[in-house]
Amino acid sequence: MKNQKTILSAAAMLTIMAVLSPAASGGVIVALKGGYYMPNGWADSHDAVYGGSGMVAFGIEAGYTFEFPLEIALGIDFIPEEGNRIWPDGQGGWESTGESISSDLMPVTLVARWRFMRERTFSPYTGAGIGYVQFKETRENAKKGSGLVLQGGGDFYLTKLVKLFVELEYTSFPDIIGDAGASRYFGENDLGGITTRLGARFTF
Amino acid sequence: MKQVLGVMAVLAATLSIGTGPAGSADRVEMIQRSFGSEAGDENWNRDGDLNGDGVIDGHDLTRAVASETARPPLALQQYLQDHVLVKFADVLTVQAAANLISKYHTEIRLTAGENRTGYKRVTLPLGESVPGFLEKLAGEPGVLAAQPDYICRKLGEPNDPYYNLQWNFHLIGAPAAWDLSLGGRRDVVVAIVDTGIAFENHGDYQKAPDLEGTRFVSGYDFINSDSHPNDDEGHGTHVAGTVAQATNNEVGVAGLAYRTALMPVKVLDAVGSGTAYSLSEGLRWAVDHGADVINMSLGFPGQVDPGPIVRDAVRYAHSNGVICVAAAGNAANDPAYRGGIEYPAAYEECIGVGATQYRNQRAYYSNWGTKITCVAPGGDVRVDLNGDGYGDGILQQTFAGNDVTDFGYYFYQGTSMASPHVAAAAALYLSRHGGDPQEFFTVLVETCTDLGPDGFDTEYGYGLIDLEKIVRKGHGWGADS
Repeated sequence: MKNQKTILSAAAMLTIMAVLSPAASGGVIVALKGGYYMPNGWADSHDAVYGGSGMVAFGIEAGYTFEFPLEIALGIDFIPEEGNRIWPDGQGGWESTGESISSDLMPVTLVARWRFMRERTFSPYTGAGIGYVQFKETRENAKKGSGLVLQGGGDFYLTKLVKLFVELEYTSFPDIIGDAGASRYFGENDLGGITTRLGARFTF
Repeated sequence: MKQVLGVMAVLAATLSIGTGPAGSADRVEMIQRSFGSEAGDENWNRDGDLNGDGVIDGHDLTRAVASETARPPLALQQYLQDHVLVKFADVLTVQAAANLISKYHTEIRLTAGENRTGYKRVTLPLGESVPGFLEKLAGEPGVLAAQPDYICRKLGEPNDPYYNLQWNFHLIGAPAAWDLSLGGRRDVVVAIVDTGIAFENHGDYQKAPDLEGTRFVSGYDFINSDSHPNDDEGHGTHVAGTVAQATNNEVGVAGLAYRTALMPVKVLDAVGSGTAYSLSEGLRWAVDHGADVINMSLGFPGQVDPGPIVRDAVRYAHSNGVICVAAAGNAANDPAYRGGIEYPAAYEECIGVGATQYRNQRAYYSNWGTKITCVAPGGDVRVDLNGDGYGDGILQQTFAGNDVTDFGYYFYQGTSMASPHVAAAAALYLSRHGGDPQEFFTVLVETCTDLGPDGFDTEYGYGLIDLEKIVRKGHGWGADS
């Protein structure tokens, strides 16, 4: 319930900002994106079960560019992963059971971006917003919850309507996991992480 | 002790209380092999059993344990208690070592030949503990490194010569469970409520040779009303062997929870029959005398509820934290059988165990029904699916016929044979985690390997038991599951 209120409040705020912005001059944006997601709030759990520092993320984004400098975007990432279940070794470590397990992490983000320079070759931006995430492990019920999103990045203009972008995104989705399994063992409850991504934005 | 023991395959049915016979005993095949003499057995007891558990096993690998102070058994030690390993700085070796000897009144053991590790074994000073001595050494000049001499143990397979015929143990993950549990704890007691056990030399009775080294606590004979619950039928001895046959003793076969203690409680007579009264008395006696797990490889045919006397006894056990395990019954091949498992397995407070064969399919004789909890290997001696040359029964030592001293290794089949697998699993679980019947039940059903239709079903219950997962207290973890 608390999460829903947060999302609704933020969505309302972004809508008001969009309505109050000067007349549109940019238009609709669609983006394809791919990158690497590194768990921050559940790094130990992830490392134990899925191994490595992170996982590949890919997704799409739709947004709207208002009069400079405001832009809003709704994005979704798909972050599948495969690993092995673990057993604790009783000394703070773990050992793999060899029993495979897979998961799907799916964060949805709604962010407002603020650009620092008018359209030139390069247009840096920063953004903030809210997110909603779903985490599903094999045969387990999906865990869901909301959190905070912070972004920074820049667009490289190929043409006036096509841009390549690099982006760094920080997310925090607290109090979603931690009731069972490795996250309980390691005392981790935040599904947030840091995503480094590349992509292409198309303006219509 | 007989010098020649036979290996035979027999077909046996679960015992019935109050009614019919103990089941047929059709000899399928027999081979004979020679074992060591009695004197030989005594030699290994005297020379090899360093930890005094009646078993020469992986925990008796080394003799280099000082015994001047009270210490935990070697099996429970992580490192040797009489010395530590020390690496000295090269240029200071001689002087540092001499200083050490002088300061701590210790000695340095020299290894014949080349010392490849650079470490030397430094004897622990009198009254010093390993952690304490290591702490002092850390401050010594010239000492580069010091550590305990950790004990490694052989893993996996026991050295019992017929272990390779115990396919049932492999199917339920026993070797991995042994690596974790070391066969359980000596103070965990499994009551075998049955025809008795060949557990002592008394009168005409003899102790089963392969139970030498198995720990027993006092039991009771409710058929003859005495404190010598010796087996006069053979069934109970076979069942007991699956739970705690002496293991890693280079004799015969292995048991699953081989370090736990057995409590013989005789409630069935020489033809395998008993009564609601004798069973109830036996159950309550076992609870009152320290049983942690009760195995009942018996049942009341026809799914007859034996009434409040037995039900209350089972509830008494359950409410006192004792895990009750019972066989589901062997009537499924009877044309008149319409489903259902026998009591006491059918009681809610009891874990009702059905039987599977080598291919993890329900054994043709194994009762099924909504009250079955799980399945374990019970065998099928009619077939040799694993190609070992014998019918796929459950192999343990017991005697056949009227001669209670004529021991051999017999392949039995039945839910009677399946039930002790679960009782042993409970004993291993309690050894490692403690807990109560409800807790064990939760872990048991959560860790079963699902067989048949998805989830619980009436043929397999929650599925085939998995000892490794039970000992580990559940499935492995995901990030959040």
